[in-house]
Amino acid sequence: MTTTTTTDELTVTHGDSRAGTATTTADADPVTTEVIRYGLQAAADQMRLTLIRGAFSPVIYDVQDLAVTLYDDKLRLLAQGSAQPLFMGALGYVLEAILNRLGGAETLEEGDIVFSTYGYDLGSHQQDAAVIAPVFHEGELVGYAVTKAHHLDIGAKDPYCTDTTDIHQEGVIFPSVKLYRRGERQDDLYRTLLANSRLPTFLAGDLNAQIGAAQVGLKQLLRIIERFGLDTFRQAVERMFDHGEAVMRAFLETVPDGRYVANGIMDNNGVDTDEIPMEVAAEIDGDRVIVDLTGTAPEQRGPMNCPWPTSVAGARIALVSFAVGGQAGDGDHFKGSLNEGHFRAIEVKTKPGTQFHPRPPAPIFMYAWPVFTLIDLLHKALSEALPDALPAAGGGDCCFALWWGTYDDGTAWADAACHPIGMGASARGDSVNPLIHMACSGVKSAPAETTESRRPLVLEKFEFVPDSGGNGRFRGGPAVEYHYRTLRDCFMTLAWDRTRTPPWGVHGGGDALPNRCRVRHADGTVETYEKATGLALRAGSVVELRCGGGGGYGPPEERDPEAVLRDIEDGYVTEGAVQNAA
Amino acid sequence: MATRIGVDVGGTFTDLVFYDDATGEVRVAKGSTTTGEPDRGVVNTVRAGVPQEKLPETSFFLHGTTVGINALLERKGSVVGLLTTAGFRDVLAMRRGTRGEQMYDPLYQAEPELVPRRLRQPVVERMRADGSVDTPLDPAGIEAALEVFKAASVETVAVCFINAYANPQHEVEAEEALRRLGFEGEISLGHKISREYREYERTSTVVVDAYVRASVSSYLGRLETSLGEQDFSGDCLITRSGGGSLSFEEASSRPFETIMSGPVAGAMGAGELCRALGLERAITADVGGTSFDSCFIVDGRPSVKYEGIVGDMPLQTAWVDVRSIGSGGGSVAYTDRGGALRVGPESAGAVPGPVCYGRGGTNPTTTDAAATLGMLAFGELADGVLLDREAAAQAIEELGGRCGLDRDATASGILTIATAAMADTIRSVSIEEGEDPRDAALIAFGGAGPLFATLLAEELDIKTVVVPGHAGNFSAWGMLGQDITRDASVTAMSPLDDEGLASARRALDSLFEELDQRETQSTSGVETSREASLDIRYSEQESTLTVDWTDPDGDDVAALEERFTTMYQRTFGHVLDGPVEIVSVRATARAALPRRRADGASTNGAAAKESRTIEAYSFTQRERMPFTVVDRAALSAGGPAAGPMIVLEPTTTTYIDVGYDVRVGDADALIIEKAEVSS
Repeated sequence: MTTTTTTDELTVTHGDSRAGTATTTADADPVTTEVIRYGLQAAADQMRLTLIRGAFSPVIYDVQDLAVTLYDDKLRLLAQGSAQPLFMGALGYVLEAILNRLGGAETLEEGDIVFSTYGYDLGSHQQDAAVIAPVFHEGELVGYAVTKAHHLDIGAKDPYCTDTTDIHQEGVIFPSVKLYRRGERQDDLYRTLLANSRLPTFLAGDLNAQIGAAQVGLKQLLRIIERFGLDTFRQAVERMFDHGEAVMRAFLETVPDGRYVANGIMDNNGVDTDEIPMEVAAEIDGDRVIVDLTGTAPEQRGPMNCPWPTSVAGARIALVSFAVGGQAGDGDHFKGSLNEGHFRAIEVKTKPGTQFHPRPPAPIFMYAWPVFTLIDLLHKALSEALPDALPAAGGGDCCFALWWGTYDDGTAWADAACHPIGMGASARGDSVNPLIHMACSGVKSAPAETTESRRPLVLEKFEFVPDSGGNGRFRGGPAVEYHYRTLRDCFMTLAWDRTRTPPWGVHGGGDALPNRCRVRHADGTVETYEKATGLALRAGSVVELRCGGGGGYGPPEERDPEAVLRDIEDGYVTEGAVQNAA
Repeated sequence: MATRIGVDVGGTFTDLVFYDDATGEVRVAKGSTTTGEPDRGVVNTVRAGVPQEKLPETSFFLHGTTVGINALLERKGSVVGLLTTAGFRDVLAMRRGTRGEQMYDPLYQAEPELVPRRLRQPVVERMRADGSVDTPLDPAGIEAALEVFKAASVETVAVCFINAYANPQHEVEAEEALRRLGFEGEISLGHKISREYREYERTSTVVVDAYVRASVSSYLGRLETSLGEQDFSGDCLITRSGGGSLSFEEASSRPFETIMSGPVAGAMGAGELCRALGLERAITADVGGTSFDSCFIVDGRPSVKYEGIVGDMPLQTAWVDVRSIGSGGGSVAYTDRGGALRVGPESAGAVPGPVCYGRGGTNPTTTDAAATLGMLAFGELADGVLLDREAAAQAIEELGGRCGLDRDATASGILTIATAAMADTIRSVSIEEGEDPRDAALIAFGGAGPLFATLLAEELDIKTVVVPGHAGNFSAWGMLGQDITRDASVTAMSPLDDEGLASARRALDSLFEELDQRETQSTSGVETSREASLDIRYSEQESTLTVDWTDPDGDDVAALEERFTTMYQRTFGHVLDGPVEIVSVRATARAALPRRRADGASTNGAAAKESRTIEAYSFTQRERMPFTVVDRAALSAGGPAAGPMIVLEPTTTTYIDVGYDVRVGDADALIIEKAEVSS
């Protein structure tokens, strides 16, 4: 149901955005529909809480690199917990792939828990293990609780990789196995899994939290079905989808028709040094939109490839946030309550063998990075359609760093962090607060005091960079510097991009300072890195991360002079920079 | 003698409960909140609700107020300057990089920080997480900062340094330097406010404290003076966000502890009621004009967390875990862009208010839905105003036309949707505690809570609902039972072993010393008990559970680990292998006010009228049918009566659907129970 996929020789179309694809003219009463919609959303949020409260790894409880969802028996999204938009609605494709590999839904039994770490089924790297609990009501399969969570280590060549050349270097593959059969854990599988991790304690803790979350989802979905009866539930769900669809189509009707195109450049694929060009287009046609990714670069030799399910998710994030920005405060319909219906008007075209539709065994470890730029470019393209709906570009990255090492007693430690970037200015005004990239919205950056209390790291700096946001009628958000000093020898992976191209301004606004990673090594040498895997750091090294700023909005000469003075007083800009610009 | 007055200032009404310890007499009164000058409304309500001759012999004035929270939300606090560790000037603006609930808003920006960047001034100094000095404090930065502060007329200086929770020495030095350099304003010193880790959350707390300090202390000072002019000479106490109360004097120097004083008092009152009625588990349903507040209570103790949030600002302080959603008597019903029927979170408030109030409101609200269905009986309000049920019905009918529903289906639909939202909040609160709501009693209060009593019971499959005495003014009543409490805590990470426990004991001793120093006049001479708890977790986990440390000298490692794993099992349904660690140590000093009698029936209620009958809508029968309408005072005697019934009292209306029985229980509470189904 999720993949109405039509294939010609060169392109694949994901979804069918024509109106009238609604499956029924559901006549469930609107009150029951609203009650069920609310209940499903609450259930998904409870799944999220269960997962983050039980998890061992900061990448789950702080970074919230996870997805918690409920699907119906036709693999349609009922509700998604408010975490990681990157997986927006993509778990339906994951579910479909996993069921196919098992030999169909009919192979499932009550009490089964299915587990997968196969990247091409997951639509993302193999660390994002999926745990699926089928939901049975009086013996009938009625839906699924589907979760995904990033596990710190499942035996990839390094805990986090930017330089893999095929999928088999990226972690041990469990291709849709039943980790539980009728409620019984399959201990041979479980032990094999843990034996392949450098951090088995974390993996076990996080996996159990993930299973707990799926079970909460299962129970809550059953509660709702039992409360209203299966027939009423099904009618209400149809009506809920139709409503989501109507909301999205009503917005798209307000956007001028046309084909909107934007071009950008990514740094490199992690293995080769060449820049990667990217062209994306969004075609608005009445109440539907077709996102065209067929003009993107060929499949890459390094891990900057994004499996198509997450490419579709990226397009959905761009379009849903466009709708929220374009509705000027009427965005409540999207606030943490997305369902399959919201995506019906969105169609995505990809071409097999490209960066957004790679084929096995191409490496995909950094699948998320092309999505950051995809969203930014779709926003750039669509800001021509509705200039007030979207901001200028931000730093364009989640600025991810991961450290690991061992303590004196030989136990291993690892820690990972996403960092906020400056946001672009918009018609609403200047940008101040740095935020995590929209694709990872919901991620909390780690407090310095938490990091320092448990890891041999000291933060020297955590501050805005003067003169770093784009100029304009409205000023872009400042770039942010994070400086980490190492207290012990350790290793680090830097997963970054967009260090070469500055975040762009829009409608005449200026560009901002881009991302940069620099290391002052303990021996006094200073080096700048784009991507690095397993970089050895001696104690006393300082890792200087600069997370890019946001572009400006509108011509700088239209800026209110008082605002310039205020910026100088606040240290967002220096007097010298203002004089140079004059 | 412990005659006392409780006054709760809400957004619309100022509620009062007076309790005469000599006679057991209770009086309730409701006045208008005087926005901008709330102390005036408080004094007016005291004058109206308490006999003049009783004031000199009243021992306690207990208060809950939104003054602090309003100063915050309306950005009407002091000009604050912040001293930060060099390199960390923007902790307050970074906010950990989240969009809150606006996940998909590409234009999202947080509210401006309480301290603008120019007034956030760096000082060279640095502590390590283990409390050792990394870089000593350089006072030169403080001198430079003070110049900037003077030029900007800074009234209060907040000081919050990185890792000061582990060693506050540099903050102490900074305070000394500020005074030495001649700064005479107030100082909010980080470690005196919070000694828990996470720099953004702690800085936010310290800045909030600095921001509201002047407005809270001048308000409390004015109020105490005005009460003195009314011949009141007892102790003035204010409810804390974490439960209990503290003196006005101490609140003036720790205002951040009182930010949530209103809703908390209701939860604490409900806890007291649970103890009186012997209820092991209960959930509160406090429904006012704009919001629904809910809290889970186990063994008479409302669940307490140690981080709260106001607007988008986190606060590291004890916080009774009252969850709030925008669903109340004034919540507006509408059809959205996709044609779906929705309710709230927007509220019609007091002005223009629901359509049936006839004050210009045109959007139908939950109150209008209830009035249309006859759930408010004849719509007679305490002040003699009669609700315009016709206008309400018309507005509901118009809305129904937009989504294809008839009048009663629309009205009942609005209440069903509002009930579902409340029920889901209750489920979340329960599930997070590892509890099943069906095992708990529901305690319904607030102006609109008793209206939803059986609706919620039906939706949640709850067997018992309690509507306390003075339900409409229950928050003010709850205040009367508050102990005087003082809290202190410190993040002190160590493994849960003999050595770790010994260092936790040392930390606890110094916390109690600190609490002794904070003792003020109101508590001196009252017997004070001490309580301790520990935040414990599995090493490597982030979230902790707060475990009672009932006997700090006697409890050994095994006892505490056992307590932790039992609680973990209950909360998460499983336990884990692996080492356990202490994260924070918490201390509370509690001075109990003399107990009041819990059965005080209101004496200023309207005289009982003859019971009447009205055609009202039954949710369990899905049709209109005759409901008995009685005054609450008339119910006080006799055995259980069967629904359908509508019970009237001056400040609230209780709706009892078909299939429920009601009786008057201990403490003057209405006990509503699901009737046994006879076959």
